[in-house]
Amino acid sequence: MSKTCGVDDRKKVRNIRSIPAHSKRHLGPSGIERRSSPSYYGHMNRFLPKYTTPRNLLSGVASAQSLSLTLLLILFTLSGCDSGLEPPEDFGTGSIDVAVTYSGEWPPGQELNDLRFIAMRFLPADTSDFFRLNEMIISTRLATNVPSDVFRIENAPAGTYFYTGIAQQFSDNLLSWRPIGLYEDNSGVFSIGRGQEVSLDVHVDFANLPEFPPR
Amino acid sequence: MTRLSHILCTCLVTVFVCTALAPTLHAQVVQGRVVDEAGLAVPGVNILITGTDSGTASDTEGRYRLGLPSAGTFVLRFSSIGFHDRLETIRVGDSDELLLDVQLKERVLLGDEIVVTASRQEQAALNVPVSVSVLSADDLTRRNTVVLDDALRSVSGVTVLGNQINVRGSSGFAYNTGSRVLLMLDGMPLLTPDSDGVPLEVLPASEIEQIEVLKGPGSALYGSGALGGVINVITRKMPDKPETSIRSFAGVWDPVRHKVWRDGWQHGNEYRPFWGMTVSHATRSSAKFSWWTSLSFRRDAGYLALSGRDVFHGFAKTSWQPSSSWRLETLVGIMARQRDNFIFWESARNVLTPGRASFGDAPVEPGSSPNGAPDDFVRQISLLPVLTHFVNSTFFYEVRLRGFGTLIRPISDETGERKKLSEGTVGARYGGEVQANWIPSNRRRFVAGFSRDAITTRSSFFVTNDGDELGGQPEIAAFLHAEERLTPNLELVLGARYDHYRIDARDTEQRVSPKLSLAWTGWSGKTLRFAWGDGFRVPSFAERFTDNRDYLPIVRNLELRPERSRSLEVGFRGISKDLFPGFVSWDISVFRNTYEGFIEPRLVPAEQAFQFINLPQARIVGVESMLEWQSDTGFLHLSLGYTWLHTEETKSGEELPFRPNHQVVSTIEVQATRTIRIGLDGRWISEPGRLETDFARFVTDADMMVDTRVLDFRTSTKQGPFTFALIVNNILEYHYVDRPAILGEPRRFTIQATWKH
Repeated sequence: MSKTCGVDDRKKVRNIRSIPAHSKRHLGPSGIERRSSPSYYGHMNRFLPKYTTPRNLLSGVASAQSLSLTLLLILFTLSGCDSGLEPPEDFGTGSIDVAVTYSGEWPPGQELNDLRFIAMRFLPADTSDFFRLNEMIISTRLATNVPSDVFRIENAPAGTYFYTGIAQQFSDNLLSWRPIGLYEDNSGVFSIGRGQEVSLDVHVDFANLPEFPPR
Repeated sequence: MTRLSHILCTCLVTVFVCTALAPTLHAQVVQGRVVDEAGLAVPGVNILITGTDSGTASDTEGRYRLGLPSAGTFVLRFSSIGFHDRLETIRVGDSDELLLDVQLKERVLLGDEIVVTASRQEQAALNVPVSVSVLSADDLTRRNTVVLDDALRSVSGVTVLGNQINVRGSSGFAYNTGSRVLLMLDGMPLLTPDSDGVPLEVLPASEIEQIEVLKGPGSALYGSGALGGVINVITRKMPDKPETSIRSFAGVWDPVRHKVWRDGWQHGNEYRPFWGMTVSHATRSSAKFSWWTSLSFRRDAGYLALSGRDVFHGFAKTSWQPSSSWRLETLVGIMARQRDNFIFWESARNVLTPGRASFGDAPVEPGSSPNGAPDDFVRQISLLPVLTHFVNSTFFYEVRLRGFGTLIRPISDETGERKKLSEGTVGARYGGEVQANWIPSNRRRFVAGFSRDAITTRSSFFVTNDGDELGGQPEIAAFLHAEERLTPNLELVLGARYDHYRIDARDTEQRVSPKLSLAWTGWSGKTLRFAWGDGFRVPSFAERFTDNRDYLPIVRNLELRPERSRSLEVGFRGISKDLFPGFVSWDISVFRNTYEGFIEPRLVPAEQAFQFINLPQARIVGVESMLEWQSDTGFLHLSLGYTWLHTEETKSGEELPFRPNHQVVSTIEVQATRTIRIGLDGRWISEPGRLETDFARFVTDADMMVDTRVLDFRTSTKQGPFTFALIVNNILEYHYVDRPAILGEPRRFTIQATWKH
């Protein structure tokens, strides 16, 4: 991304106003006196041009000019030397082919609130990690009371996943999920790159559910 | 970048062409003397023949002599720093020599503002013993402020996340729920009755005299809500002569810089339009009765998908003064708004499209309506009458009534129809107060009063203590504010307020909020101040009772307690003409605020949802500084403000979320020619030291934040009754995050025309 410090330094800020030096003035309802001492206005005379023309901008006002240019410099430095937020790099997506086999007796219907394939980019520490939804792949609802299932997940974000398997929601409570079968090859870790296809086998044994949280 | 250079070149060429066309001077002459209201000579006054570049300036005796190009009628503009401009129409014949003496009226300069928020009565901003910033009507007009958050972003120590206002780090980000900054309109509390949010869009931006920002707790005067500060919007006063103005503006949002973002939305490559118009009229119908009214409409297509809005405002204020001792002023306003409400993006790669949060049980379905952009139709009505009785020269009292109602009707994503009110929110905040002001001597002043207010809200989002959707929150309060000048240079301010709240049917809360401050004015034009005070805030309805899973899982918390703050501040403010040519004003303050029971939204695993909870203790320390310089001739105006904050949750030692550590605001304004002003406004806000990452569990890339670095350009020219302005906001097209998961405003171009008669 190109840098865009968009300041043309040939463009100078100039002033056309010129006011003859003057002596005394009352200003402000709060009674603060703003009378100007002769030395003060003598000082100003050095800075102010004697005659005003449209093209005679800020000439001679050395201190004011340096101050304003300093502030301009601060403004532009702070403001625009990069473009700010940029779209993050797109690591692409791949697809996952999952083959699930089930053994043992399926739980009763009231304990089968939901059933999904889940792949996590992290090792969960407790159930609150189920809220890290943006770091997971979650399938659509899976079929229940079947001996096996095969499905494909398209557009799976590329990356490495550390904890993958089939999860069962055993009540309507949002956090009442538990893993019932895990992907165990390669210590349960798999990676997927842009355009890649990955095949995973998961076995669910209802008589021997995995521990949670994992050790 | 080429486009930017082209725009800048065009502006500068316009300036030069306008000025180069000025005609030369001729023989007819007008001469005279310029004096102030005291009859003293005013030297250095610019006298300009409007519509030309011809002019002169008064000498040290206030005398001037100006040659006119021909016989005829001319309008002369007399302008000088520290005085209001004055227009005089003259008619001259061939070789005429006209005599014209002119009296100029003083106007307020840097730091010379009169404020009322610090003590509920008028006093010079320089001498108040607390931090107050002032935005004038000119400040708002120059920036084409149509919604006040635009203007507040330029105030040192104030940041705005969405429309949630944060004074010195007091607020984080909670979708405008439970503001720790009290918004007032002409001294009346105006937080929304449902969420205690700040309804910035309800305010009449075109009819504002000034905005005062009180930094630090204001609960000793204003009660709950003023925990972190107070913003008092003061509407304009009645004019002596009839005034009519028409202000219109139109512009476009520039397509965002990155193609990836533009490609994510079908309108991403288009310039998105916005426009609006305000018509206002003010007049004095008789010696006793005067009024102003204002109607405005604004349409904005929005720079994000589903972020468009139509807003209509109508405001009127009347003043009836049957005698010199009685006055009745009534402000009435109505706002109607229909909008798409973009809540969060789809991802950082698709920032222009609203996303859909997934909660496991509600996965994204193809073709489903995004829940990151609910639509609603909102009506807000306000009625604020004030009766003032001046009993004698030392005592007067005011009776103020207030009513503020809100109706919110969601709009169906499927049909586009407004849903029933029962599926939305109805709320009212109403009450009144009596305030007595006694000034027994010029060394002593007292303000005392009592108030009775209530909130009634029914919302489909709330489940109150009774299990229903209706809640009420009556409150009574009494306050006392006393000022005593102990010595000619030392002023002591003492105050306290007692508040009694009934929260829903079960709880009551009582608080006494004291304050003490000292102001030392031993040096001319300088004030050293010390302020100590307590603040508190009762939880809003939304914080206690919201129970909804439509957008994010949020559960109510009936155990939520009020939060309290204690503030200590030392500050030094001054105005000087000796430090630098022109007028310099500065203000530096060091402050330390501690909070108990700080209310923040958190993901509570046991509740499987977000919930507003009380944090044990939090602390914010900081330094705020402001330097402003205005050249004596008025050709240059510079300001620079810097705020440093350190925030901490005392128990965990972590920073408070969404609080930036550094903020810089700056302005350069140049009177380029006699009729053209050019200005640059910059603001830089560091990325918050800590983000609340719980939100990012549900919303993709919601933990992405960057520094905010925005530079706005503006130029305006005045030609007779017309003022034209070109404003380019975010001229360097810097992209930032306005609030979590929402892209900040990209570059936009605005042309504004105002006719004032």
